[in-house]
Amino acid sequence: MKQSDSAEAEFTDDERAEAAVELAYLKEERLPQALEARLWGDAQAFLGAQKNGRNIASTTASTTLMIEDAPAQPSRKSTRWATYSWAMAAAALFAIGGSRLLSGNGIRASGSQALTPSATFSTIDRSSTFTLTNEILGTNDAPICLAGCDIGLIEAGQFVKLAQLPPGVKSVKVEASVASTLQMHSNKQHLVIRATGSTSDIALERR
Amino acid sequence: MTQEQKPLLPRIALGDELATRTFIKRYGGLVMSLARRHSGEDAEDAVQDIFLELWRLAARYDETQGSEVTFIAMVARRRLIDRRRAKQRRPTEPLEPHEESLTSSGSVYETSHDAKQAARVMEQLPQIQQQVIRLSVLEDASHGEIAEALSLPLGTVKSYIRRGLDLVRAAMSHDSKGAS
Repeated sequence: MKQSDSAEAEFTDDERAEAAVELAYLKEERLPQALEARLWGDAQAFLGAQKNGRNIASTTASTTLMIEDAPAQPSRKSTRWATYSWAMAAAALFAIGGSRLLSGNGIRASGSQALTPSATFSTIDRSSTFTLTNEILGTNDAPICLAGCDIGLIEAGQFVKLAQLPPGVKSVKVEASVASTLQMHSNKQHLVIRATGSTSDIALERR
Repeated sequence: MTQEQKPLLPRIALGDELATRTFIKRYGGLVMSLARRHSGEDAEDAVQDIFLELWRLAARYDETQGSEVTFIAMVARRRLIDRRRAKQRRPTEPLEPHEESLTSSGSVYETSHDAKQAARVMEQLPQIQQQVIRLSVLEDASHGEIAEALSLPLGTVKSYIRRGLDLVRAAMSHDSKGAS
């Protein structure tokens, strides 16, 4: 069966037969409510991108991401920057839905939620994988996707392998297991990185 | 799922929010089941991945070419196989063929005409051939792994799968011609 003229969407007759066999043996499960909510968040991001005429799969070849630590106390001007620089498009951060953040040269990220370390973190090292999804936080927020790494284009929802950690960053830490779902949002002028779970934290550890 | 549901993918392709929400509710369990079977503990991540792919491909679904549920299963299976390959996760333990019965009740079987056709064909095959096809399709086992697990010549495994899928395909093709 040929479902489309796109190689991406073309399916063979064998695939169709295999799918039918699979369905014949399938006992349908219930979708967990939390997952349904996440899917709806993804759907809104997708529809938002579609509405703006943007392709969710589009990306930049190379982007520098700058992440700013949130000061422990806002009054302190203790801004520190870690510069992400993925060579050869090893990783690219891109925006959909009209985000203002994607300049191609730098994206600032901040927020205590984003960079607060926690004792419950387990380390994600260079070979670890995790998932990125979209979610719209509010009317002024635009969903974003993280792309890149050594296996080519990565879109929201796909696994990302940090084959190349940014200079100055020893490891990326995230709550719970490496399979945790991370949600990345553009929150006005800031990038917020969160892991779903009880505390939603991600931290960067500098060399 | 009910028997007479109209496909949602064409509406999703037009940006229909309600259709998108309904799509999640209607097919979430189906996709979850597929992901659970092929992805195990990564199932929830796989489900998100698959849905995004389905939305992206929504405009390319052609209902004259097949049912929506079969299209979804094809997209899901391809994605799940891609994910497994990307992670290079192969089973380390030897394959242990287990009996898996055809779903004689349940929403997928009840509502998918293609699944019924496939079940009808499978039931008519010898047990050993059914087992070979199950290991290939449901367990993603390679021909070599199946040959080893069932102590069969590799050529026999290949021909069992080839002939079995040909029969399923013929049944589905015959059915769709009869319907049109």
